Amino acid sequence: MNIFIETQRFFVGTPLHAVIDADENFLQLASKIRQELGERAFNLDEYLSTILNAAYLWLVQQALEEAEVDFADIRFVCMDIIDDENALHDHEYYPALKEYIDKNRSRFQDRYTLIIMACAAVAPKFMMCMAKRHFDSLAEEYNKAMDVVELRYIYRELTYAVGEQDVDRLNELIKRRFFISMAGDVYLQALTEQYLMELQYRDKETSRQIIQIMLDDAAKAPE
Amino acid sequence: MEEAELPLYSEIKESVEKYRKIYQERETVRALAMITVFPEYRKIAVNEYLQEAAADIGGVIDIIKQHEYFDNISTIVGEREMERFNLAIKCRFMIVPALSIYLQGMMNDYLYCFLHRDRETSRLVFQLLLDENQDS
Repeated sequence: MNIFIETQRFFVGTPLHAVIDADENFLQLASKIRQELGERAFNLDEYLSTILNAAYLWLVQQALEEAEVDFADIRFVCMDIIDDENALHDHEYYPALKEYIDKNRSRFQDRYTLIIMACAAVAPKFMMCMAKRHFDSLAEEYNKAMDVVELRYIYRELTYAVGEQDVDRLNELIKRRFFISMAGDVYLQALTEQYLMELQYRDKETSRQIIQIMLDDAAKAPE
Repeated sequence: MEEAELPLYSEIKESVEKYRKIYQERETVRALAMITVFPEYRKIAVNEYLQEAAADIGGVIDIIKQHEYFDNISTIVGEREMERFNLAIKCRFMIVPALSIYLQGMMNDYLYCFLHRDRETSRLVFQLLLDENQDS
């Protein structure tokens, strides 16, 4: 079956009804648990407030902007090499990009084609570094904002009092309702968007798109 | 009055009036009313978003032509290979669907409503909601 059979498949992934169901059930379940807790209801309030604060911590816009800035770094290093400025010599992307550009400099007349081909050749490797760095900084931010040990402790308290099943179900509803797409995934998607824009550039000399040139290269390369 | 024509105006008004009787603080009333109408509002917004997204993509992709390409290539290389190829494209380039990002984008303001602390009672709005649920 062709998974791209309908236009909607290109932009809808989250089953919407799951998000909407979560809306309706979240407060009911939270109230039920709270009632069962009796005098210890403050545990649930603390638990929810910590998790909601964590969800509030990051903005979609922030992930998109950071990815754009991070990806642009590769381009800056490329330009630095092509223009022989050597100002970014110490940059971690420098050696790999330098190697590609030196080898291919005479091949492309269009300066921007050379930049993009160099980016595209090494991007998968750099994207891993960028993602790792981004995840590390997110982890740091989250650890600063919430006490994970305390959160686990409250979770245990809650499960002793009302049973694991209800608390896990509440977690699931919170996740569906407030964490529809995760910060790390959105960052990766935004990096990918940057990469995709490059792949669509059309070389002025040959009128071919970068993706076509890459496929030509791949076909020529020895197995 | 122009505002009266906004979607959900009467629902929002009803909910503002309900909470105004209970809470003094303006921001608390706003947050509670927003949480109440949000699910309905989101349905309208998502519908509009989907229509726009479909129109945008329709302007770039000729889906019928894409089917033809898919079929043509499938007859030569086999449908299974093409399916694998589609999946590889999806995994590599479509990590998060646009709609999920759109929905997540709404979350920040929404979460802010839950986390607002009412100055009169010193309780967070989500606690007020749980109190209300428990009383009823």
